[in-house]
Amino acid sequence: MKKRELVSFLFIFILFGLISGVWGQEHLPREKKNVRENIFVLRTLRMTQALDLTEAQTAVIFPELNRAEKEKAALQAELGREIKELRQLIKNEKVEDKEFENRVTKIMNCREKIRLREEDFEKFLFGQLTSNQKARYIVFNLDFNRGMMERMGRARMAGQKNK
Amino acid sequence: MRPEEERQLIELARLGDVEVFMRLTREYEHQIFQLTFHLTGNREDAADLTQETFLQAFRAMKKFRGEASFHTWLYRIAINLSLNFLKKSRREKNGQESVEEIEENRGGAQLEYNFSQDSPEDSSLSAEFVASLKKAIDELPPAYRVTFSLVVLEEMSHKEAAGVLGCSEKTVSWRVHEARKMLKKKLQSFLTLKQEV
Amino acid sequence: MNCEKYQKMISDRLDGRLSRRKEKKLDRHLAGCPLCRDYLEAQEIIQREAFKIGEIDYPPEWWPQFEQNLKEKLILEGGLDGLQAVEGNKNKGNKNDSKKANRLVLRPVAVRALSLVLVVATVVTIAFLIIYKEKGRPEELPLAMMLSYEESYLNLNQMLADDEAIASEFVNSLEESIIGDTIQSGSENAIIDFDNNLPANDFKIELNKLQKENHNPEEGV
Repeated sequence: MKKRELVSFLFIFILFGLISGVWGQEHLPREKKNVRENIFVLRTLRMTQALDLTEAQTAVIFPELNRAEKEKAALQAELGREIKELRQLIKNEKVEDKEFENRVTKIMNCREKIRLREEDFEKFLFGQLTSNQKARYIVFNLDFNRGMMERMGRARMAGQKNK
Repeated sequence: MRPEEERQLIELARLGDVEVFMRLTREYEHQIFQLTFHLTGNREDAADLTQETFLQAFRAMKKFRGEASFHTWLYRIAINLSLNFLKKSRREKNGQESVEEIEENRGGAQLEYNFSQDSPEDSSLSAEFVASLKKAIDELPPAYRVTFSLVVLEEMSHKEAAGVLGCSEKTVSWRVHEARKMLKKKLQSFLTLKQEV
Repeated sequence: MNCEKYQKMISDRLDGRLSRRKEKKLDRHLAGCPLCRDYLEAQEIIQREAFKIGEIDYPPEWWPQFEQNLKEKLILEGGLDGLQAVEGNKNKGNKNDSKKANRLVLRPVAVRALSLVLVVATVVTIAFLIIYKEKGRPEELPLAMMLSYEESYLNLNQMLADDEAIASEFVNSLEESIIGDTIQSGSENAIIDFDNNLPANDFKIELNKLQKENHNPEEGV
């Protein structure tokens, strides 16, 4: 299979995963849904290029990538809601310590679940990659995350101008 | 330390109180050091592993549910860390010196323990024997080495060792027996000399 | 003769876990088996010598330094020192408060100094982040956070949470990149009809159009 066909195949795969997973969260506003799904699409595309994944590798990695993404997206949405509620609770002076404790435990558990799922996927991923690809994955991950933060800064400047 | 007091300290340490955790550390640091020394055979490595054990325990305090005793839990962390350390250092170490080489090169071993109970006449032989025994223990397969160390060097009962290792008492008994057989085989020439003395 | 069985019993005897019945059985066997007697003697020597490895320790003055190092690391790991812990538990009416306050007095100066440095560092970091936020400049994340995609996403999501305008800009920028990457990779041989699979979405329609243009460039002109 040629590289361009591989990319098309990859798109179909990602999109099918997204239809059944991330877009299932109908209650989220458009922007919120699209942030996660678009980052995922872009990250997957860039990861495929950065690691130079073979056809055989994508066939094994992508189903698991989609599964992990679905689970993590749901957990991140839950975490986002919890944090939002926590912010409101902090403003309220009548809240008891016990309530805070419960919320904090919930948030910590949720973060831990996300961390474990991510770790789990990365363990699986590393099982499929060559040493060179593993090394490139580390650098790719760093660069991608940094890139997202820079993109965020640019969006903020543009957003403020448009207000 | 009374169990009730320890339970209270553990509850406080779970909230991240370093001072309280240090009290627990002081209670167990010597035991953990002994254990890691028995497993690694090196004082500096044992000191590092002892520190790492308490660091990991502190990080994981929230996960400690009290199903096993705190002491057993610490032992498990120390054993896992020591085994990982041993695996890593074995990989890095190429061409280990064997017991046979020690026998050929008697007196060359650096001893880090006390052996003053023997009379002057046989203390030299004893020192060499202990050095070789230590080396032979180091060369046991990890599972046998850990079990032997817990039962013989740490003087744990089979039941206690089984609790720490998460296996049955029968497994402990069998592993110690196998370890003893392997040690005897490795130390045969020394043993013949010893039995003659 | 099944000596293996009796040698296993010897091992159990040395560990003090042989039943009285088995003890007797072993003794009877040993009386008639020089091989096992020899084995027992050898194992007793190993046992005796092994006890000599048993005790090793650093001198007593080494341990306070070990504890000090460990404590500093624990505080750096985010543990609360005595003062913070007392504050944290005050509202709960904890009966150990007075004990902790006493420990405060005894705590070494170095630890108190370290705590002060940590507090100052935290305040400076927060101030730095607030200034950056005000200026709308790209944020830099600590290395550990950047290593984890999900931690990074969580941080990003929190920044986007309250501002639809910025979120919208951010999504547009992502979509542009995806289109750019798709065209660059050259997916003209297999067009994916996004409309058939996905909910109505301007981005998907645009992407679909772009793919078609890319597939037959002359038609697009």
